[in-house]
Amino acid sequence: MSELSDIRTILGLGKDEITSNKRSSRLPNSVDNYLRKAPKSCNFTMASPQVSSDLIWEIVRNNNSFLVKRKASGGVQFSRDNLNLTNKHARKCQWAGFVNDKAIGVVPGEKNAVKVLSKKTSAANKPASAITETTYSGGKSARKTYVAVAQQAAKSNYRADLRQAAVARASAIRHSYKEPKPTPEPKPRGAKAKKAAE
Amino acid sequence: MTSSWRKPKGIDNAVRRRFRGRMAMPSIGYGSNRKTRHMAPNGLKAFLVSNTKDVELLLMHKDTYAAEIAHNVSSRKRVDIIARAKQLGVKVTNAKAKVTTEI
Repeated sequence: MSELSDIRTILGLGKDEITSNKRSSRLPNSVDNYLRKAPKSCNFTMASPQVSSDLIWEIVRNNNSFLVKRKASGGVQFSRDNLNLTNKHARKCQWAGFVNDKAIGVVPGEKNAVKVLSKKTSAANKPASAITETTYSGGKSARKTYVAVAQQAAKSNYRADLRQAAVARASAIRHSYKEPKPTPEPKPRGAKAKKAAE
Repeated sequence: MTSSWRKPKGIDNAVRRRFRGRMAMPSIGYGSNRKTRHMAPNGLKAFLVSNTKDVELLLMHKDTYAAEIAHNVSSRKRVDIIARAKQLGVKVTNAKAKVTTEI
């Protein structure tokens, strides 16, 4: 019940607007659905004092600042969220980091470093100070970096599939620091090849 | 086929009656396999990008998606996009457009 009253205050509604049978037309449809049957909570414990991450997701899933929608390729959706290890726009209990109380992200740092971001559950209502950064310098060997990233993901009880994704992303970021191979000269074919042979 | 297509409903309509030599009507049988839908012959799907930040979205999807630079991006910015895509290992479908000069 306390959660309901929190939702009410956030949405700026009166006392009986949610609990009464006549639902307020101001409520977005997704919120209404949430109140009717709350979705099964994810593995994370709810630390946010305000609202559950499930409710936040239902509100922002159709439109948010991180979301990139394209009509091509069957309507792909990506997310620019730094706390999203695969850039997929999906709840699935792990990818939508900005929604969850507990999230991990891997981003490129300065001087070929790999930065691991993680969200503090204790500061869930202070978004600016909720994120802690750990930098693994570019001088560190690849294997040691991956071990450190994996341990960081494992130690603070993230899902096991996040660990795999975190290492994969760290690897991809490290790989992107390498000098790209020059494009090979195109080989002449057909008539041009004959001309070149002469 | 655009989404504005409407099934012919006229009583004498030759297309509706599927006469020989008339245009074919859309039907579910023309659909391609879901695994290969939207896929280019190189096995990648196109993702429209207009800046380097869009390319970075494909960092973990370079085996599924290729970047396609939007038509209204200048050649100066195309160079940046192509360079960043090369660093990340992302394929660009129209890398030669507006960047190469004719010899």
